[in-house]
Amino acid sequence: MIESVAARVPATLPDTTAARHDEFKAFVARHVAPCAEQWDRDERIPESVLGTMAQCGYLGSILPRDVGGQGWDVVTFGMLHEAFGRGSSALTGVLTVQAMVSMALHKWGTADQKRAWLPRLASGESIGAFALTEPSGGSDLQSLATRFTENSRGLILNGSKKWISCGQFASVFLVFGTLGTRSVACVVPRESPGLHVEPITELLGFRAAGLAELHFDDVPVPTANVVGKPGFALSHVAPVGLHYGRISTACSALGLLRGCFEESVTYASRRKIGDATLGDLGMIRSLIARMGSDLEAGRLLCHNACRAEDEHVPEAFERTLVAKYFTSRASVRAASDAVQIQGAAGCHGSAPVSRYYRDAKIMEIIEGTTQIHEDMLGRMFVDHAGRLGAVPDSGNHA
Amino acid sequence: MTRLDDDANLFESGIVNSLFAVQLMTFVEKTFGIEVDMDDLDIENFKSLDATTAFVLRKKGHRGD
Repeated sequence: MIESVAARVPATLPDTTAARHDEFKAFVARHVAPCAEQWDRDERIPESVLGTMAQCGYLGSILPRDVGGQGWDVVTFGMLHEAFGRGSSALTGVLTVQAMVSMALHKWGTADQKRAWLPRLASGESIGAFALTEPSGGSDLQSLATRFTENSRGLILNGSKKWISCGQFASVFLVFGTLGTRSVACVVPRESPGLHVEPITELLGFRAAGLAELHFDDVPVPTANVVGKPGFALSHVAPVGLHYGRISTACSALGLLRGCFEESVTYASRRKIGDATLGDLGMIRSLIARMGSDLEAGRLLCHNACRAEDEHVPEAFERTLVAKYFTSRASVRAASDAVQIQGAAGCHGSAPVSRYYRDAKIMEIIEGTTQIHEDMLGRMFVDHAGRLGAVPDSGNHA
Repeated sequence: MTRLDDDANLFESGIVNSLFAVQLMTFVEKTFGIEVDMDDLDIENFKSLDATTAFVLRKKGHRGD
């Protein structure tokens, strides 16, 4: 019964996709879950596990085969991130930003940029980082303080970025700033002179994700490194990356939610209270019922979002917002309840649920906070009703 | 409901959200079987319904009149 809820995948999935999900889960059980607590304590992910992931093609899962990627569909991409989310949110963060940089470059890069970077990102030879957030503000993208200026040899970059996942070990950054009044995105290699990387430690969650603050001090950037065109970085380039970031985060939070569920039902069925078990208590069953129901709902929302992206329909953006909004909030509830079920044992660093509790909160903040999602979704839903004239008149306007 | 003129500037009208640009791009790609790439990033291609129609016709190889 536990397996039937926890391991269920949509019945319409092809056998090959379900088999890949099994492969991903087996990889996580062998290479990730046993080490995740140690990585969290060390605040770093060993290069060896990234190398093993690269060998399996996981770092280029979504890129097409002609650039060396796996060419998997988005449903499979989502399952990869769900499986890794069960083991380590921090490690899944590497997959997230790799996809964000890869897909922004794939969509808007020049032929030369694609030739130079996509095969390296697909193979895992290069790890990317998405340098958008600044010290003075995370969600207010319109007020970027990072500046590009022009000189006779190209562009000069000055400014700072903060809370950049994988910043400590990424070899290439997609940096957002302004050129005059226009927004610009540029590829900036790590070895660029004037780029200084400052590790960020003591985070609440995602401790091993290698977050960093980036300082750009007169960094020369060739004009050929501009991705898209000046003026379109915030309207077109960033949204493509953030969209894949939200798909990944929604599925990663779903994996964390599954972890909370599996840890909770296992603990509740084994923990003895006199002649009964914890799972015999109605109050504990209530917590587990909510977790299991959220898991089922989150799985369907993530599947719908991934399928919409595979079908390349505009609704994919809205469905992804809904999925990320739901699973991130549900994972916070589930992690809190999972710790509650385990009591003191759940509060110790050796218990995965204590890490889930800290990591889940990060899910509500990255790739758009819960409040940003509510603002966007609320507006979308109201706009839809207005356009369609679909709001039924209840006649009750007192 | 507010009526939108075919030549009204979508981005100056205040009626679109931050995801509109990529949603419009996806709609155009899906509906008309074309790919919008970096060379097409020009506000003149997407600023109004008339402009978007003309852009799609150009990408599909129709002559402008």
